[in-house]
Amino acid sequence: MLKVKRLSKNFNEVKALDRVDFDLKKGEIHGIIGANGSGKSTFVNILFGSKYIRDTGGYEGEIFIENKKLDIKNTHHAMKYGIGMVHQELALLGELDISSNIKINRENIIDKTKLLGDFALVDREKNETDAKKALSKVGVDINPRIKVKDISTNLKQFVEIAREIDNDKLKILILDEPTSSLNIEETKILLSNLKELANTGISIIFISHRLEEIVDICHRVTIFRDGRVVSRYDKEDFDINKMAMDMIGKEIVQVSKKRKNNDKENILSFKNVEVSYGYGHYKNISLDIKKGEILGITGLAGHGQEIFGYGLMGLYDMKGEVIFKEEKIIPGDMERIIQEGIYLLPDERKELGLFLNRSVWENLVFESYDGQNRFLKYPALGKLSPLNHKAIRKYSNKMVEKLNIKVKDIDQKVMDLSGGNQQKVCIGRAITIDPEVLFVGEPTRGIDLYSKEIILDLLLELNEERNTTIIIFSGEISELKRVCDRIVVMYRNQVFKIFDDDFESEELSLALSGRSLERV
Amino acid sequence: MKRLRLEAPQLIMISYLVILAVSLKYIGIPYMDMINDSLIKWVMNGVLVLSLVPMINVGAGRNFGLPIGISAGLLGMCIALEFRLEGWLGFGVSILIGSIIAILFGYIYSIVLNRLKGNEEIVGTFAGFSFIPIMNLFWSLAPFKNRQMLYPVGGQGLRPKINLDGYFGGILDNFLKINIGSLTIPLGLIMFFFILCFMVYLFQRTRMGIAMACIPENEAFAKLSGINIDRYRRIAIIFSNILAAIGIIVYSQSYGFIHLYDGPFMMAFPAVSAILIGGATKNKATVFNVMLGTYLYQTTFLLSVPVANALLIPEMSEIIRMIMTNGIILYAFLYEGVRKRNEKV
Amino acid sequence: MKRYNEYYVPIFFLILSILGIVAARVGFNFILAELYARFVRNGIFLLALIFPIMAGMGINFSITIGAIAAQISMLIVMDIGFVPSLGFIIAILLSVTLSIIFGNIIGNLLNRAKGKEMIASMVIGFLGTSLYQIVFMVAYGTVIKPFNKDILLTRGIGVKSMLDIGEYKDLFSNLLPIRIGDAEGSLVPIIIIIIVGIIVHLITKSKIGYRMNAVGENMYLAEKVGIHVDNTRKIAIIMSTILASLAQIMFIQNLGILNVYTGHLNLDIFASAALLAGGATFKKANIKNAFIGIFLFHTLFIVSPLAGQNIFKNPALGEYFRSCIAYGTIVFALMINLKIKTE
Repeated sequence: MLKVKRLSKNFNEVKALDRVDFDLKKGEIHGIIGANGSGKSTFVNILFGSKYIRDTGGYEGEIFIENKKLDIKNTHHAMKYGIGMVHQELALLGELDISSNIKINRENIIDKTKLLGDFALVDREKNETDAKKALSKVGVDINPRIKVKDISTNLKQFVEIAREIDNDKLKILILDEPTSSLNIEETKILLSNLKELANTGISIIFISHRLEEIVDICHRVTIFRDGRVVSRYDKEDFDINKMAMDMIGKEIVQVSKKRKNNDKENILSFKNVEVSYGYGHYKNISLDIKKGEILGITGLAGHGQEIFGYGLMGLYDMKGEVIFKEEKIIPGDMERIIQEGIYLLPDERKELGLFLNRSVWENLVFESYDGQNRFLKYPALGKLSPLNHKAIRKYSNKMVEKLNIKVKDIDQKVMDLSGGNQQKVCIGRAITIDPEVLFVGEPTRGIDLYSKEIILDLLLELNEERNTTIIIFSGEISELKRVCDRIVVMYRNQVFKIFDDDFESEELSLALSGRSLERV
Repeated sequence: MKRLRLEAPQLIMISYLVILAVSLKYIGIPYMDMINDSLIKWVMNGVLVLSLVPMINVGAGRNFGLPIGISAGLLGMCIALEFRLEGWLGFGVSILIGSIIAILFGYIYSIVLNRLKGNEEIVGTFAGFSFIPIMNLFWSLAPFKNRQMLYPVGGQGLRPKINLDGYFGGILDNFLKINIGSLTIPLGLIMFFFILCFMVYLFQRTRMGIAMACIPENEAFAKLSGINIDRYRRIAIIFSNILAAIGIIVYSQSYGFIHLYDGPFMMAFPAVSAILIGGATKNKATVFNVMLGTYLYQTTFLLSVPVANALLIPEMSEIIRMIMTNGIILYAFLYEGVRKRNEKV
Repeated sequence: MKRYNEYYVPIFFLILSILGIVAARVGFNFILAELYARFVRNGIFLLALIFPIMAGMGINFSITIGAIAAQISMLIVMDIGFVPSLGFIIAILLSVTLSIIFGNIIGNLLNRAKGKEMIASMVIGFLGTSLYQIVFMVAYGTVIKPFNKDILLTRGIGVKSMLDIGEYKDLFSNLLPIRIGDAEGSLVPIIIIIIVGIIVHLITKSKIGYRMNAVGENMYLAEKVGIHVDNTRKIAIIMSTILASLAQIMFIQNLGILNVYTGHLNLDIFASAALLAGGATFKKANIKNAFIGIFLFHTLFIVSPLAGQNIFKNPALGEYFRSCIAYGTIVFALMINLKIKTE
């Protein structure tokens, strides 16, 4: 049905996909798994003709549907060729009712008014009949007149799938994490309906992190890593543990950090907090962070490695009991939290960590004045004081040298710097602010090897010299192993396992998929 | 350091100005007179344009609700007149009371604007428009006793234009006038303007000013750095209102009248247009933008009046002014849209 | 959280109107007569605002330009001097044509100003007014030679500011006459407006209507499911402009006078305030809002100056009160709506 040859895609210089070959049979359910950034989202976005792909330079390689070579220029094309996709972020219009959403852009019209072209009257009843039919194919029976905003998230998921199914030209259906917001019962219903759907001749590409589901319904599985296809499995060869390992890959660095003696007290504790973000609402999450430690938090994408930092700093909606140095603090109360000395360096540096249009020195010292009075010319004036540019420049030059940031001078705009250097600026700022507790997200993502070392060393230095408690949330497990005293694995937004001793790579890889060694 | 952006609006404006200047020669109007007038018109309107700066820099958009700050200033002047305060005392008290009222009005205005981040411009427009009838009610009913301020017949309700002769009309204009040949430089007036501009400039370099300027650049990051976005916006909005109050007082002393009722109605648009001509963008405005833009805008309009009269169609100058004003604002809106789209990719 | 009940605002206006009627001490017949005239003159303007609201563009303040198209058409028709019945039809055709052209331009502009359509449409309206004034105040007599010199000012340049439409006023007077309150009028304009209302309603239930709803809810998602967003928005504006021009023709015909330079002003504010008074919001508007709104708002409009006269001996106060309500409704609606959007 579908054949893909040497599909490649670059975003600027980053290779998101590297000569991927893929094929899909008619009526097959084909699973795709891979860790964050492995390229699977890029892959399906290309198939669906996403605007983003087109706007960033298109793709290379060949795509064949039913042996005809095609060029997928936009979503319209993709839909014309029979490709449908259900995204993770639901693409539904809340104010419209279910039948309107299902029949969107394909409404039935009252025959008599056909001559009016676009002004033809919509045949509401026929729409509703079609909607009900499509819904039943996924096992749902619901009044199609209800507005989409009034139904639960899981039902919304089914409605989206129904929308794709209603298109009788549909040949290939792509599902991106369709079960992430469903409970066990609903998942069972969906999976069995998908099997039936495949039996009617529709091919399904099924992306998921839930390995049990994959092995349940898929005929074949392809595993992506770092933009390449690393392995393929047929149903007979399914082996969950092997597949989990393939996703992560082998460890390269063996050196681990010298563990500090950490029977110290807790500096920051989360007790049964609730966090909401996106479409998810998660409860009963707890974690204790010890004073002076370097804690690593990891997990697959969407499983919550960032929720502690993001929740505390108000980027996610967190409620519940959080204790800092034996006093209660309210998550989201930015002013107080920063005053107490807690700081977040988010993984989305450009969006949340830098003023791209401003110079290096401005970013380095921005609002660090409370701790660094010498940067103010007349500290007595408080907020109305102008800056002491001499002191700031001296400090910034020192910083740039120490961090080895490649710039013309400290006045250069941050957006001209490479990713690695930008990150160094962020870290430089964190050092300038000198917090007691520092949350850092993906500190070395997208950075060259040499700079990675520098950054990790800086974090270690911060921890050793200033006794800063550092929490790193990242997907780079080898690095976490190198610098962290303990590593927390998150699965489905819960603390799944905490490693505070030496461990086997296999154990960690399995933990990422929510499985423990004992279960084998 | 300061790059003068010459885009379509600036180019059109400058060429129009050149055409007018050349036409003046043919009509025989002496340049000196025009230059002298232009200096006065520059400052007269300049402070009002300056008042837009704090709000633009904090990311609250161009203040189409200028009538609100203006009303505060008008009220200040009326109170000063009610107590028959003349000369510098009257001028000073107007500014003092106007500023205090501006703080109050600004505070309320900021509550509205803080709730509707992202739509400040349209909300401001209507907030300003709806404020005027409320003030009109006030002007009609308020218990002022000074006969010179009231309607000649009936005795209740302030008259639409209150003459400042004998109070502080022209006080700044005539202060420290320097004559160099036929060139008259209203030094006092210009110094007053420069002092206000300097104050705004200094404020922008303080810790607070810098933090405010960073808010529109990356609000999420600013918040993560501990900046209380709402509070800073409020301060900027109040600051803008105070400047607007002072602005209308400077304007009125030059104009010679306090123009009540529907006077302030359309005053926001020329001010916004002027600052745009000076090169300001949606989130950034400097004192230089104010000075350059106001001068270009006012001088162009000034020169167009005698030319239009000579062509026997006096209405032309006003219509063309409206076209320029609105055209420039529209251009800014459209251009922002394109730039945003290019950035997204 | 305050749930914006669709009926809060209309009830508020109802109460105000009743209070106003009591304070004004005028007879019911008087009010009915005035309402008839205002309904005929302004009704279709409210309908014109519906489509852009559906398409997520907020209030289209540039309906002023649709009105300008109508003014231009009437002017030309009167200049040429057709027989009223023929002239009326030609005026309508001409204004619809102009509206399509203008609407296309406005639609393109507004597509480039996504996110600030309301204020952009206001500025476009001002700009249009100025350009219109230049053509008729300056170009007529100089560059454009009219057929009938009488329409020019005595100095020879520029059209007169007020033109009597003469026989056009009596166009309907002998067709289906009825007596409403104190006034004598014809049923025909009312029928015309009701028919337009029905057409608008049907369009909202057509494919285009569904598409506009989708675009209005979420442009990004609508694009994702394959809808041509820019095109849909443009069509909404073009239809809006056409309806506005029709409305203005009804206005001129009923009023009897063509106010060349001021006839098209302020109608956008009052029409939008009226629509909002009828319970519409910036994201949602339907025929019901239009028909309820026009009566509530204009009742208040009629009685305010009289109430001001009676209570304060100052009719101007009533006027101020009226303006305040008009703008204030829009501010109030903005606050409620945009607050819900950000929540």
